[in-house]
Amino acid sequence: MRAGTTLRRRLVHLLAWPLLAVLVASAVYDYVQALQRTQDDQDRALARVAIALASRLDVDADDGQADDFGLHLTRTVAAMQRAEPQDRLAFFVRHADGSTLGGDAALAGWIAASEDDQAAFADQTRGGEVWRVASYAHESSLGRLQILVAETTHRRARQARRLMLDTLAPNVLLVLLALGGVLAGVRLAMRPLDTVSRRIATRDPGDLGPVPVEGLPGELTPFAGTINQLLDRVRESAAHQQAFLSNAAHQLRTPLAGIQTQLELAERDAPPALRERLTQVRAALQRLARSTHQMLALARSGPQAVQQEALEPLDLAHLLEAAADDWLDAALAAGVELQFDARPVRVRGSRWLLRELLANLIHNAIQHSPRGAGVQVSCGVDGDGARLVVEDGGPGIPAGERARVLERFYQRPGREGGSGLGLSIVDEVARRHGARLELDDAGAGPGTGLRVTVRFPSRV
Amino acid sequence: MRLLVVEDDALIAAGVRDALLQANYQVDLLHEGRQVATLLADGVHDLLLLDLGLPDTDGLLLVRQLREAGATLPILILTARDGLQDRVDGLHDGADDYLTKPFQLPELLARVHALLRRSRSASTSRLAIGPLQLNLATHEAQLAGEPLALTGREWHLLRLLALEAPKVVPKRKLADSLSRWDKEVTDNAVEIYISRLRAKLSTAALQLRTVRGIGYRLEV
Repeated sequence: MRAGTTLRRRLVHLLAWPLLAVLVASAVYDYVQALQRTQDDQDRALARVAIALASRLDVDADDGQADDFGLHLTRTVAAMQRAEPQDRLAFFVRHADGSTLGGDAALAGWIAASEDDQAAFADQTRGGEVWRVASYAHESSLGRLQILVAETTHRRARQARRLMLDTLAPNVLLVLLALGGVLAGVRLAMRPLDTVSRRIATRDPGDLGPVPVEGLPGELTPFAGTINQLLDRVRESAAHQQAFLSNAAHQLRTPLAGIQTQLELAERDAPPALRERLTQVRAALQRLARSTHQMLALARSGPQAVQQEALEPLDLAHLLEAAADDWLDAALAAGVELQFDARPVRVRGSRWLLRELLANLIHNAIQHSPRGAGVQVSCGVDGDGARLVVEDGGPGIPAGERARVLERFYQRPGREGGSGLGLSIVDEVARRHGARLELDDAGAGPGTGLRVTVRFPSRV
Repeated sequence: MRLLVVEDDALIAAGVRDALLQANYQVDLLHEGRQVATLLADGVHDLLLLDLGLPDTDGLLLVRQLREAGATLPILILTARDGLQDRVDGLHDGADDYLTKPFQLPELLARVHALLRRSRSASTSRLAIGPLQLNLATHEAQLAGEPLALTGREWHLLRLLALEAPKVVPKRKLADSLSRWDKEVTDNAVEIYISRLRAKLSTAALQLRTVRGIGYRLEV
C-alpha cells in the first residue's frame, strides 16, 4: 500500500465514490423524467391549440364564413395568447395544395408531415428565439388542411430551470447525508484499529511484552497473534543475549582478575630483571582487560543489543564527579592534569552507558596528552539541550580522519596499540541517547588538541 | 583486623588472600557461600569481601540475609558483571562498596582500608588516616601526635574528607554538608576553609589534593 494511504481512506473512497455515482445518476434520471413529463404536457397543450383552430375552421366552413378564416383564427389565437402572456404564439394554416388560409406565412417552412389528426412536434429557431412547433393535418369539409402552431419556449425554459433546482436541492442534501453516514460509519468501524494502534504506539521502546488481544476485532486477532509470536522470539533472544553477555563477562573477567592479581604479587617478589618483564606482561594484560570490557560494553550498547538500556533523568555534573574519582589516579600517573567545569544539567540517559562514554573519552584524552598537559572535561546547558565536552592537549585528529576513527577497530596510522573501540562506543552511546557527536580542534587550528563534544537534544 | 574472603575462583582467592596478609590483615577464606552466615555469627570478622558470582549462592540475597540477621560489618562486593544497576542493587541490599573484576590490588586494598576506617570510626569514635587522628566524640584532632587547632568548620570539612578518603569529595557536597550543619555556605567559602586546612596540614605526610572544578581528595 502506498505510504499515507490508510485503510480508513480506502474504505471512504471505495464506499463514497460508487454511492455518489448512484446518487448522481438517480438525480439525473429524476430530472430527465420530470422534464419529459412537463414537455409532453406542454406539447399536448400546443396540440390542443392546433385542434381548437381545426375545430374553429370546421365551424366556419359549415357556417359558410370561409372568407373570414384568417380573422377568426387570429382572434382565436389572440385569445389564447392572453391566457399565456409570457410566450408568443403564432400560427399558419394552408391547404394541402399550398394556398394560405391564414396566419404567418413566414412559418410555412416549418410545416412537417404528420398523419391525419396527429401532431408532429419540432424545435425551430427564429430571431434568436427557440420556438416549439406543432404541425397538425386535418381533413375538413374544405379539404385537407395543414395547421401549424408555434410558441416561444420561455416558459418551458423557466420550468426546466425550476425543475432542475427542485431535483437538485433534495439530492444534494441526500448526498451530504450519505457521505456523512459513510464517514461516521467508517470511523466507528475503525475504532478498534485506532485502539490497538494507540496501544502499540504508546508502548515503551524497551517493552517486549505481548500486545493485549482482548477487545480486538476478529480480523486483527491473527495479526496481533503474529506480532506477539515475534515479540516472544525477540524477548527470548534478548534473554539469551543477556544471559550470554552476563556469562561471557564472568568467564572472561574471572581469569583476567586471577592472572592480574597473581602477576601483581609476583612482581613484588621478583628479582629486578624478571620484574621488568612482569611489568610488561601486566601492561599487556591490562590492555586485554580493557578491550574485553569495551567489547562487552559495545555488545550491550550497540545496535545489535536487543535489550535497550533504560533511560532515566540524571545530572551530567554528577557523572563528571564520579569520573573525577575514577580517573584521577590514571591522570596523576600520566602527569596530566584533569580539570573540570561541571554545571548542573539534567538529561534522560543510562547512567552506566554514559559512564562508559565518559570513561572512553577521558581515557583517550589522558593517553594522547603529553606529560604536563591538561585535560578539560565540562558539561552544561547547550541551547535547548545539554553538552558534554572533553578536550585534550594531544595532537588532535586531522579533519579527514574524524569520520573513520568512529569505525570499530580502526587504528590511525602510526598510532596503533589501542583497541580501536573507544570512539565507537562513544558514538554508539551518543546515538542511543539521540545525541550528536562532534570532533574538532580544541584550539584555533590543527595540533591544538582534540575536542569531543556530545550534544544532547533536550533536557529534563 | 580479621577479614572473611568468599571467592570461588582459586587464583583470585589466593591472590587476594596473600595481598591482604601482606597488608597485615588476618584472612579467612571460603570458596562457597553456604557457611558464610555461620562463620560471621561469631562476630570476629571486621569485613566481608564477597564475590557476587558464587556458583552455589546468590550473592545479593546472601548480603540481604546477613543484614536482616543483624550483621553490621562492612561488605565489599567483587563482581564480574558491569552496569551501575548492579552496584545500586548491591548497595541497596546492604553492601557498602563494590569493585569490578579485574581489579588492581592497590585499589582493592584502598577500598578495604577505607571501609575499615569508616566502620572503626563508627564504633570507636576515632578516625585515623596516616598521621591524622580525629576524635569524633570530642572534636579534637591530632597530627603526628601533636594537637591540631581547628575551627568548627575546618574540623567538619576534615572529618568529611577523612571519612570519604581516598575518594574525591565534590565541593558541592562539602558546601551542602556545611550548610546543613551551619548557616548557608558557598563553594567559594569552602575554598577558603580548604586553603586554611591545607596550611595547617602542610607539615605532615598528608596532602589535600584539589581536583579543579570538582573538589578535593585527602591523600596519605
